[in-house]
Amino acid sequence: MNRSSMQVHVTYPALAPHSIWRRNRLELLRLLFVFLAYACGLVNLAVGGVPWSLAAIGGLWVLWIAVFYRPLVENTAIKKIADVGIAVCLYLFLLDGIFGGNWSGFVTPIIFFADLVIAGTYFLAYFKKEKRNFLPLFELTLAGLVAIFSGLVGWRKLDWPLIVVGSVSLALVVLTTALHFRAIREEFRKKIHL
Amino acid sequence: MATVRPWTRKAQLLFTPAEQATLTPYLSDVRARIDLRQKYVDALMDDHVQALRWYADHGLTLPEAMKRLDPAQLGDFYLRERTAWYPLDTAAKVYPLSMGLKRMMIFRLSFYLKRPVEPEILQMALTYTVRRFPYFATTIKCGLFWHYIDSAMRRYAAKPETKPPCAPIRLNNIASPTFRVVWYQNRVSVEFFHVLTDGSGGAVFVRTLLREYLRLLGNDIPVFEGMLDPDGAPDPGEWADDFLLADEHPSPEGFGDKAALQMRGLSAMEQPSRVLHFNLSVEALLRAAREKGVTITVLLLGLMMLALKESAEPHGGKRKLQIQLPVNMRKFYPSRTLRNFSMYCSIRLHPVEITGLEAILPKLAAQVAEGTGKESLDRTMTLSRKLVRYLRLIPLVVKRPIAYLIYGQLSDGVFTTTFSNLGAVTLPPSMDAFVEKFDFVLGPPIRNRAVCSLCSYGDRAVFTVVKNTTLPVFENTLFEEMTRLGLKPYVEGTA
Repeated sequence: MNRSSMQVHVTYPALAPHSIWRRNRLELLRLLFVFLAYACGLVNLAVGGVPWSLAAIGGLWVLWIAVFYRPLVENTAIKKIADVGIAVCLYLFLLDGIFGGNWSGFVTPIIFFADLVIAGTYFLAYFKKEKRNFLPLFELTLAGLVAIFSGLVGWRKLDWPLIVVGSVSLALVVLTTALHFRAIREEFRKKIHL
Repeated sequence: MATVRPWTRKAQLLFTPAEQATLTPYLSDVRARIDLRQKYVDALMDDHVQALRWYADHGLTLPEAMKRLDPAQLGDFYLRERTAWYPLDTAAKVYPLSMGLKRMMIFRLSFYLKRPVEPEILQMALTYTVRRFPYFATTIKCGLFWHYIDSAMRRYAAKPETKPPCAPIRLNNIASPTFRVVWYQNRVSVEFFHVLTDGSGGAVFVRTLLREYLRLLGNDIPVFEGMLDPDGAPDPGEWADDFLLADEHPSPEGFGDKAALQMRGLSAMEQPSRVLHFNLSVEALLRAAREKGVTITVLLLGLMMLALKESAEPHGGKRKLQIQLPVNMRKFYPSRTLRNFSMYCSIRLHPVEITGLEAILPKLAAQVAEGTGKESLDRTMTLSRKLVRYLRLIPLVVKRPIAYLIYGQLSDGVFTTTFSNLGAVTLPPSMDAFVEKFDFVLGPPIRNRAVCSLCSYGDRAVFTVVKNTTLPVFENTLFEEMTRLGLKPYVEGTA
């Protein structure tokens, strides 16, 4: 039988011609970031000395989270603010670990509560629109409450940034509950269903 | 000074001042029934203006057109905030966990009209239809342990087709829909993310949309079995997770299998690389199947096995050609759900066993009879329920990367391909004059090089092959074997 006898009648529209770069830009960017990270690691290993490559890789990661990363579900402003805040805090811990100075325990709570204030203000200001996207803020608040708890029980030093973190977290919980108790209770039911 | 909205300007452009006088109270009535974000309000109002213009251009008077687009049909669907939410059904839970930028379990159902689509009317039909399906008017959200589906207040758009079939749907905006409606020439396609529904549930939506479209075109078509009345009240049974209905089996099993032999060919950068529809006569298919003493499903499985043998990797060792065969569980349980309620079985043959169609059909028939039996499927359903129970306390942030990594291995890795037979789509005789055919397209697989599906309407069966590789051995062999059987396939598809 002649294999070429199958004739296909085209019934689909011609697709807009996009370049391979444009169609796959996120994957290509991810590849570039991974390549740069590997390159930094290899150069650092070859040259030796302070593990600066970890700082470079961390920087790339923060840049990725802040600029290029888009979650497949719930790519919301609150999620972005929370992700960037957490990434920056972790990066600061990393820098402190690499280069020393023991400053991260003081600086990161400042970044953290600033992040909480931004996310919380946005959430409360646009509650009707954002109430269904509060999970990242809830996680941040929970982390803030755990941090102040660890300070209060003496697991870590209780300084003013930590007190502010705890106060802002608590204020967010109280404000949200007082202003939008029923709505937030319903949202909790959704978010925590098993 | 009050802002002039775009739809007001459009009404001024499209209608005479006398017509505008009639139109203004009507548009005010429509506007009073919409309380969405401004961009959706503008779009919905614009849809009404465009549809009224279409009617006027096609011989209806303005009062007649306004009667057909009676604002009461909107109900309070676009007015009142819907707070309903729905946990994912047992089968759907894995889909959002395993999706990626270019990897999403999507399927598509299309109907082909005998005349070109009227986009303005299709848009209105969708606007009215979706309110009967509140479970479909949703968006996907993240919970602490599982994803879930939450009501989304938005306009649902019917757009011209510009993307490849079953292209991933962007889900990450606040009210991103989980399905899309596209049209091209005489075809209207609805593409569903599998979290929402399965083929049977999707077919109900598509039939309801089709009826509403024809009704708006002025045809009197009764609500028929397999479609819902847009004016009816939604029934909670329509979004029930009926996996919970299934009988508990004492020895659950079914997931995990030996790795299957895969087809040859490099995976294409763009997926699907090609979609092909083999248009067949149902009568000819039935005749061929009866001659061989098997069902249409078994006959097509046989043809697929022959094509797979030709297109498979040559050195497979003990690995077999394994076809995933989804089974609609609604035939075993009294279910009204529109959500996922199907299971699957595996049909296996070693390439050495495939010596000819006559030789393999009895083996395939026996495997299909055993695999699609209630007991066998209950085992798999019991296992899937147990898995969900075991995994429920693991946070989503932990589950997701693991599911993403292993899903390709557990799903596509143990199958060579999939064959999903939706069966016959039935419509009332009064719709025959308007509808040419239906087709059913599965989304591109992860590792497999092709997946197949079938549905029929009247005497037209459409066997669809979705390819992930440009190597044409599979479809060429299928075509040859179908031609040899006298099925005379007429092939349509993407370029």
